[in-house]
Amino acid sequence: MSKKSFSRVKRIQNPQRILKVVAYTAIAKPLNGSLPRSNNSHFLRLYPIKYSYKNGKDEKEATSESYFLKGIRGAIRHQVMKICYDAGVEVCHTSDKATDKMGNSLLPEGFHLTGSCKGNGECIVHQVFGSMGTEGLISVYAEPITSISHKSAKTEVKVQKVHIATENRVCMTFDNKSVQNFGERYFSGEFTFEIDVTCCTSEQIGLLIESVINMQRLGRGYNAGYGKIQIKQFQLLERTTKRIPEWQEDSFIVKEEFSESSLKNEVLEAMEAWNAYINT
Amino acid sequence: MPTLILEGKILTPIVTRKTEFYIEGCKAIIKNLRRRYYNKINASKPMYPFSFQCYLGSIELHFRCSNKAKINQKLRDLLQINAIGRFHGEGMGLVQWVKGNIHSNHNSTHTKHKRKLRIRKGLPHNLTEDIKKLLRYALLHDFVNTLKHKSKIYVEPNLEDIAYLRKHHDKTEDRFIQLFQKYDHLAAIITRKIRSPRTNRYNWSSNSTINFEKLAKEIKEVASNIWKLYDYIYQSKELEQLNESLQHGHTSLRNHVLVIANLIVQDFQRNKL
Repeated sequence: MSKKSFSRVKRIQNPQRILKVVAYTAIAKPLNGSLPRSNNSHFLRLYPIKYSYKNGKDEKEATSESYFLKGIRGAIRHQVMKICYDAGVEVCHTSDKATDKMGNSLLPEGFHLTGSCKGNGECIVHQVFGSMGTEGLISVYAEPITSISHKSAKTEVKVQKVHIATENRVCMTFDNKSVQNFGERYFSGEFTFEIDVTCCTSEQIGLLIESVINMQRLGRGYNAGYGKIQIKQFQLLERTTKRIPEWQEDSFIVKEEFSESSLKNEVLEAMEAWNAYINT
Repeated sequence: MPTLILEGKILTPIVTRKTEFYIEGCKAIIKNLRRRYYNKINASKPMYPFSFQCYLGSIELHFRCSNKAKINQKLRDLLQINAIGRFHGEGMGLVQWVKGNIHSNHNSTHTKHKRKLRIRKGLPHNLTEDIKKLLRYALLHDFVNTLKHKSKIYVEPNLEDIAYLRKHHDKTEDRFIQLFQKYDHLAAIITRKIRSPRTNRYNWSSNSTINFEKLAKEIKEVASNIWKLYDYIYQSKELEQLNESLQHGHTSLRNHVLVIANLIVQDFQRNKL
């Protein structure tokens, strides 16, 4: 069996097929972990973003931190696994561990170890998401989130405006003062994410659409009521991207052009193909 | 030779260990970098293998070719790149290409050959008394207890100048100790690469247990002669299995000590001491 090596770059394939999803969450914590010498858990911090806003007649400038929206691909994978389990299709589990130290089984019924189906009879989850040493077919991306309170704010970079704050989780107090505070950052609001499904077949797109529609969780703390998601809108798009260098003697500037069109019929075809895949 | 330079802005962090690497036949350099850690689980500290180093900033791709038609073809190919590095399926490593140029005769400072530090098989003979003293201090410093740490071989060898060796972490005005500390820090920077905590001195590559009392005795026997001491450390398989730092489980005490000695010898031979 030949090993497929990971490519360290991803190229645009024109035309791209993209599943664009609009979702809403009241409170979600897709966090990256704690910073050194800090008990608080944070998002993955990106650049500070400059924006201008109107204050009366004056126009002022300010900056706001932007954050990476993490864990969407994992959330989709868990929903895909659940849908496959309900449909009676045996797929890869998230782990490649069969038992723990005591010999207790860690593998639930209806699943096999991740990557064990490689080669013969590859399951649909392994085809879409891959495993160690095998690259997946999809890639997920969301614009960075930021908290800007000014309504008239204008940014040069594409961002998603949401509410971001810190929740206090005090574990220990002394003299009515918190000694240990394992605070967590959270965000709340409407956000958009995109799934690149250019390389997927219609069955795989159908599975992804069904899992995205039924997606419920994002981030940590779902047993305590955090991270519930409502899907408001989804769309399958065909996007062509052109990057052209505009030459001025020996130097050039890169210009990007997009054109998009929606694929309504392909959504229905994909759903039918997924239903046919379950029934066979 | 003409060089194509393509500049871009990193939108989401590129997961890579180095800021200079080769990709698609080009040399990639990350500039104005800001380091981030991408954690895969809820780790308490950003440490390998639960977290990955990644960088924000701007990226430059350098492609050298004498044929201009090939350069244009490569530019068209490079502009199709959307993401670089690991986890691009999760939205990491996205790049926005901004501008570029073609240099007719580009000599990058990064392409200059850097001479690597070589670990000597033995010490040279023409050493002055001061250098001998500094080398002896460097070769023995980690085998004694200090306020910061205990002996890294658990047992202290009975040496004559043990009290002076114990001061190697102190903040003093002693120029000899200050000079040693400079080389100690430099060697630590070179040898400590992957952060992974350990509870004992054995590193991840060790397979057997060590008799530390015997090791301390043998070190004491050769401590009077620096050539013998260097040779003993060079050939020691026990010291190779021990960690220099408990926070960095992939280091070795042997390498750390030898790197300090070689840095000192190198500077002595270049008249930089």
